[in-house]
Amino acid sequence: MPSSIPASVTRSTIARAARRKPLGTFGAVIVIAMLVMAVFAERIAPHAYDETIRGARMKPPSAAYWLGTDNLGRDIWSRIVYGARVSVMVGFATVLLGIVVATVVGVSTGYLGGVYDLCVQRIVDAWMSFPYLVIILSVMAVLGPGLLNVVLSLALIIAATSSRVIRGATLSVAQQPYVEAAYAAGCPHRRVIVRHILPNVMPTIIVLATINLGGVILAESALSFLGFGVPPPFPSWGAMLSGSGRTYMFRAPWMAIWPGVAISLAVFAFNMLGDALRDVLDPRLRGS
Amino acid sequence: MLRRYLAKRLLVAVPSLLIASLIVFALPRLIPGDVVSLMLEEKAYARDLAELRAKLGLDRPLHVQYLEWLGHVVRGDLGESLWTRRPVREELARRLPVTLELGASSVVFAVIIALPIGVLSATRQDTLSDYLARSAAILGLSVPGFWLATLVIVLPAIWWGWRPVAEYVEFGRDPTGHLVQFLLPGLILGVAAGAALMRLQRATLLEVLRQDYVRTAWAKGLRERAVVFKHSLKNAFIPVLSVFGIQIAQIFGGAVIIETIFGLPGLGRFLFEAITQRDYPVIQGVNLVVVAAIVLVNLAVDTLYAVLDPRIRY
Repeated sequence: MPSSIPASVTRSTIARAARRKPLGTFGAVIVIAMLVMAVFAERIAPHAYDETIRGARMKPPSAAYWLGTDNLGRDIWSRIVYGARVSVMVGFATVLLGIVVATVVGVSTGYLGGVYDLCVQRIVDAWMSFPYLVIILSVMAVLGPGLLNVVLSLALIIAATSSRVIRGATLSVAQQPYVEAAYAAGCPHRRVIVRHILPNVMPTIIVLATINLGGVILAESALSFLGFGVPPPFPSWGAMLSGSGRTYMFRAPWMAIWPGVAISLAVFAFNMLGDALRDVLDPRLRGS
Repeated sequence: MLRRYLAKRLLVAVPSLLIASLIVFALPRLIPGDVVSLMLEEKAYARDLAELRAKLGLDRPLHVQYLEWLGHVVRGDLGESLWTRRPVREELARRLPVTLELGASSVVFAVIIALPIGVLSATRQDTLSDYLARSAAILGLSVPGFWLATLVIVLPAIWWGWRPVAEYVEFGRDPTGHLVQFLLPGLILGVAAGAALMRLQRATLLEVLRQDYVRTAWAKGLRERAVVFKHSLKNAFIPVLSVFGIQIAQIFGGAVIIETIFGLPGLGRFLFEAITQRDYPVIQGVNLVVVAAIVLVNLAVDTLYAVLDPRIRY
């Protein structure tokens, strides 16, 4: 889109999108709020994530502590604001890495075909026949806990499942007459891929990335819940739900409730946004 | 025809299974060497480094290790747990039924959730109930199972002072109690799977409802019930069936967490404990059983839909 569109047009486009896709717009608003929280956590959070407030152990939600405090007297709202940082970082890093690998694998297998395609697809089959949590946990058992290892193991899963979809999209694009025309005009393979295949597979890639973001945030929270994520005291939503969150869940239920609300809302928003984007950009993916 | 199709599917399943076994085999081999010595210090799994390496099967050339391991696996020998020294196969046999029961109950819940809501949502497309159903499905996909599990334990305790039993009840001691304890965890695992199935059910039913033969059925003056249930649903069910294998895999992944929370002595919890204790023979054993089960389920699904729809022959 040219950048010289007047602001009023952009505004009316947004208004129309909001009317057509109310759920998707709702998702977009929450996603933006989450990004703002992650970037400006220091300014938004009333307390530091590891600040122990004297005489405020396990206080219920109130005007002073919106979502209550935990067993160490830390403000839960502040910890949730900082926790957005982990979710956003892991989410975007994983999806970026996973989708780049998936694009390379998907486009090359779809375009080249033959024995190469057959072999790679069997490996993808085998990889996909593992439950994702099982394979991630097994990889973590080998690599050890930590944020980078979470990203690496999750990206592997994204890469495998997404490469299959991107391969499918590549296959259908490669059959189009304009690709044939490009060959006829003497276009080399590299140029066909870069100029004709990739741009037409791009909508699928964007949709896959958005849809996967929610799943990755959910998976990161599960891994943190099991104790494989960021080391304490830095807060992650999943980790806040385990350990002391579960130990004190009967005495201070807000400790176990709010982080779960944050995870659900974030994943819900990304899923809504992904669904709306898919309807607009790539209706073929409906139901996947 | 059917036989040729099945033979083909079997032929494709064999390499998948072999590659999967290679992945299962390769994982512990990726452990950095210093981790082995760390295991020796931390867990005292063996008397010295050489013995531990031998126990993990890390002391010979790789291809020899793999073939030997595969030979043992084919004969049903999965080695013994480093931690309890008991044969992995025995432990697996004891825990597998628990996970199967949990899986079965969650599949039942998933279908109970997915079928009626999916049909309602597709036949009443773009109405309020459709929007509600779709939002609920996305919500079902977004809520983490471990949080739901926490909520169903915490909220009843606060509101009514009721807590679910934390101890595993054996079938022989109390058959009713044994079955009842799978209801809550089964429901929680079933929610996510049900939401995914419902979305697919809705999408495929919508597509089928737009086809010519359905229009013909309407034109004949058939009632909605006949058009939807007798003519459309069977065809709409095939793609849904095809993701069933994937859903079963995800259910097992969820079982790792849910079994741990609800204190069910199943495969998932066994795997999680083995991972925290770096008990590699157990990790390998569980992974192998799970992958084999999933490949078999996929094969069964393929067979089933070849029977349901005679047009499907690859």
